[in-house]
Amino acid sequence: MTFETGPGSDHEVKRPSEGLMRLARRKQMTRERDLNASGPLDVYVDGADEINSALERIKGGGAALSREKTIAGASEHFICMAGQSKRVSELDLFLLPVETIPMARSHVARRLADLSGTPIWRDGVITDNGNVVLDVHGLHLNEPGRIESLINQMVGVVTNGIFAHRPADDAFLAGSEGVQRITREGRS
Amino acid sequence: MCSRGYTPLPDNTKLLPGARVDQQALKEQVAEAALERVAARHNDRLLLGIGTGTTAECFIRTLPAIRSRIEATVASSERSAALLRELGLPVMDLNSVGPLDVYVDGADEANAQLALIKGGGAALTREKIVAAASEEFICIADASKRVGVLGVFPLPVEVIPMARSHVARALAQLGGQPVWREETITDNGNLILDVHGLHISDPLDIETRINQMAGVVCNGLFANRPADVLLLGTSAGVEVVSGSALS
Repeated sequence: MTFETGPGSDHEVKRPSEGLMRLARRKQMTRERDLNASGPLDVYVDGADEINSALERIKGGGAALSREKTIAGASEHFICMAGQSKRVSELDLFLLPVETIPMARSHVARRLADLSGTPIWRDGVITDNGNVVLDVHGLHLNEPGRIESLINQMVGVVTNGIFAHRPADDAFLAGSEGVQRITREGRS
Repeated sequence: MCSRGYTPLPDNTKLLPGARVDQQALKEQVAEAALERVAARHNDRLLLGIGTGTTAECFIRTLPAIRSRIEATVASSERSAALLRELGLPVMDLNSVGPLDVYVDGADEANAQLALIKGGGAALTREKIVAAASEEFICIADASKRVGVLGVFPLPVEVIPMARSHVARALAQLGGQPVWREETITDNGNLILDVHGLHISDPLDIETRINQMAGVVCNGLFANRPADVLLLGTSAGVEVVSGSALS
């Protein structure tokens, strides 16, 4: 089996971020392989900055969103693990990260402002792919899939942090009462 | 005089003796026509977006004639920026100039609705960004670039390196045959997949679907933002194809 993050020595890891891979190497718990060499994956495991009842998420506070989205897209099953505090009824509380080609920073910021968001350049941050991040404040995402599509159409955008086209299949949410499992409708 | 760089031709082009020279003359002709159009604009302090490729280079070489009216240029590639500087024209970063007046660039294919395929030179993302930031897009090409249906020229798709295989599988599901352009790294540090065998009868739909694939940075279809005017070099002179005439 191939996992994105796995606790045992049999598991292989596809790297979502350099930071996580350093941790994995230090713990000697993984064999790493390039996604181009591995083909489609069985399971992807990741957290969330926000998750709603349809298991749509916002992710990317750590600026690794493009790699995370690529791996999620290449995986058959997607498990999200988070604290109960990340569960929201509407995805609108956190900042929405948008990874952008550096020369398009101002152009994309103007387009995001047209959507009535307030984009702020995360100055000093360069992603693993050499791009910049705009954090958009104040977007109300009651139609996350539509907003994800609209932002994907903006020229100069590499990825945005809405994971609605590829929601999680299972979520494990930890709270004081224990761990709650939520399975997306249509998956079992 | 333009540089007479090698221009790749489709495999099915019948190259008659002297055809290369004729094609070059057509490019010079449309470059002059584009300069006239730009010069006819009312504003005195022009902000110009400049494309990439042999036809765009012909246009760049006409620009010294209106040097005093050019406030700034923004180039879609390092190669074009170097030529602009060599000619003494001001080159600026897009982030510091804001929206541009006009973008002038070539195309690998153009259809009657002025939807384009671009990116044979691997500069598609920057070209698309500069085009999107410009009020008017003037496309210049020789008549061989006009097609009924886009897709004979392989469609370039820029992808982040780790997503190469994943995106290739998704493009194959669209019915194309993606071929990795090995040895090519874009100005943004990414890879190019050239998608062969697509019969693109609905360019806007294909552009939109490819944009939704995780790991895709950009694709070479310009349908959502087509050219506003196409200046086609023909042996009988410059043909002007206007997008607004069709709508």
